[in-house]
Amino acid sequence: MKSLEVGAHLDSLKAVQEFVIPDVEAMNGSEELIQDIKLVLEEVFTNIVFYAYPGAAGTVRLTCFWGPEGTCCIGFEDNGIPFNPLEFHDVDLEQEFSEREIGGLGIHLVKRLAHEVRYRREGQSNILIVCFRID
Amino acid sequence: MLITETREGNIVVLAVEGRLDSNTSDQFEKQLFSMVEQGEARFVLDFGGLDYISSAGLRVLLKAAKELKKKDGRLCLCSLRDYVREVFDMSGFAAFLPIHPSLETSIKSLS
Repeated sequence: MKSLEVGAHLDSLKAVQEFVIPDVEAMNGSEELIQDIKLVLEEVFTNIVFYAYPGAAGTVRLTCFWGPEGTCCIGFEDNGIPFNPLEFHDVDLEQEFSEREIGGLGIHLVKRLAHEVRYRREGQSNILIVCFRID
Repeated sequence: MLITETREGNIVVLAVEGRLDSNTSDQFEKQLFSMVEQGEARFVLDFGGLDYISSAGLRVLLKAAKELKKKDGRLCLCSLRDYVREVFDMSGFAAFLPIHPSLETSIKSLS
């Protein structure tokens, strides 16, 4: 398992994607899967950037490990306010657009694209793990 | 991200290339909304060169669509690559943002 600690700000996004994507490419992940993973990394990471540390600086610790049957898992750990994104209300896709809010859309995409999403609160940390099957 | 602006009569065509993500969406929002504030009301967003869009980019499109609706304006998209199209479908945005196969059909629809 490898890990990387980055500042919880948007400038770190590139480093977050570069931490994971070369490994998926090395496993011959399809172009579509790579796009899915990039999008999920951005949505999860920016969610932490915007909400975990209101008015304060913080860090995010990333881990990347391979699960059973060639599953690529990425863990995000922050010490911010407790937040389980899986409990966020679902986006209503049928709603008239003038009523639609943008909140929750990123999480909706994460749930749709990742093959598995797990959350746990451990001590002072939020730990979110997203996994993808590399077929 | 690179934005190229052209005109077809009273229609503004913005060709967006590269990535529309949390690092670039602010620039896109500023450029689009400065034209809306100047009174432009018909837009085609040519996404033929767009490689990637995230919810940050979708947020700007939703905001622009709402603003233009108030002003009786219109916004449509064209030439989406398969992957970008999929993000629109997954997020439900394809239901309210007209998406055309080509720039020509977009312009015809707004003319």
